[in-house]
Amino acid sequence: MRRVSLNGARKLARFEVVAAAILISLAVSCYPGEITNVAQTDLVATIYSTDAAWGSFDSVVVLDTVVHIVPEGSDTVNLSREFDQQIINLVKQGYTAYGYTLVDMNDADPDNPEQSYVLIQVLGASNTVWYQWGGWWGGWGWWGGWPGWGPGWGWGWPCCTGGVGSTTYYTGTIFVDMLDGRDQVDDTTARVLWEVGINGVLSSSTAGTADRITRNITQAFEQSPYLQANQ
Amino acid sequence: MKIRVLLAMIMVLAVGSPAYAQGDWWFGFAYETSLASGNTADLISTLSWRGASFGGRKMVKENVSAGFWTAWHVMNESGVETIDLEAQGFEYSGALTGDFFRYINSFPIMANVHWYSGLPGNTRIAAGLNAGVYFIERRVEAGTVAITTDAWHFGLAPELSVVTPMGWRARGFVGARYNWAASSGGSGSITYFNFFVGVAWM
Repeated sequence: MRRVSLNGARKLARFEVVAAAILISLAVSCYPGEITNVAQTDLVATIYSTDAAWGSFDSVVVLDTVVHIVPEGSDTVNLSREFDQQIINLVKQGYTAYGYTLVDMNDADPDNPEQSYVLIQVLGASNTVWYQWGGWWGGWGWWGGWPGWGPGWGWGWPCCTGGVGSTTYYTGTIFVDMLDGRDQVDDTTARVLWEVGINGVLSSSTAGTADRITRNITQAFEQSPYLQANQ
Repeated sequence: MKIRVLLAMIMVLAVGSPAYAQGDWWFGFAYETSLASGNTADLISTLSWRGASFGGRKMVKENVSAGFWTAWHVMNESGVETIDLEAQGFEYSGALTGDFFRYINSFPIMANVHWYSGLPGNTRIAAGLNAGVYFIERRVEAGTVAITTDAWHFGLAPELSVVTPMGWRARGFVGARYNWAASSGGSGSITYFNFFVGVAWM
């Protein structure tokens, strides 16, 4: 036989309240374990043309300047060029690892079917645009020096929009575009073979930025095995 | 006579009410963990530790109760993933790599029936079936983008538990439950297990 007391009943009631409080506190967050550092916001997207003759390219011209692009109607953001050379070197290393021969810009041969061209850009403004992957780069012509860059975009941020609709580019996003020099409409429009977008990685310059650049550019190449030359 | 009545009343209070006597309402809280199964495990495969429930049961017979149950189950998983864009329904070929954070928040609201083995006042096995609806929110975060979809689903949740006396008019229970939330519109079905421990009182 159990003994019952008012004190016991109070203790039980107190226990229930405490138990309920513990249970509620355990479940207060719908989204546990969310982002805790900026590196976790990095995204590396790669898109490629399925029509390209992959495996036939064996040399690449990597332009030696990182272009800061600003869409019309946007305010320019002054981004540091501290990491430009690191980015260019990493892109070159990526192609070399896939068996490409690096060709100097002055030695580029536009009639060489095995040669492609790579330009690197960083978004110097935030803007919302429509995704418009058309497989063509219409920004500027690389033969005539640096005529500037116009409104043409070949690339949109594909994440999470279902492929259509409005999408946002973030300041400091790195774009790497691999172009087919022979397949061009005119001096300023060429077919895009491969495009990389690394979201917002240069939006700030912190101690970890260099590591993030290295990790993400390396990842872009790793997830694009079709780049392999001389297959 | 008065003394006998008084003694009888004391006896009843001392023993606790006859457990699960007909007409009694029991209310309980439980801590619940969740483990996705089937296709749901393709999204989140690890045991999730965040969940709680509240329910009430009325004994309609000595070994049968009818009641309700509501809960909040959070399932989550994160990690670096590379996804194939074409396989995800995009119109172009390529891949996307980043830290993906996946969440399922499930809120079942259900009626239930339970059958109990053995005699009231003893440790008993309870087998039950919950039926009702789930409000389920699915969320995927990648980079600075999040996609959230939510829907109401019809669902069933059979469960098995052990209930044991625990002090004055209180019972402890531990058990497992299988949740099946049917497809709803464009949202596919969700299935997962719960493992729970809790306390009930009258």
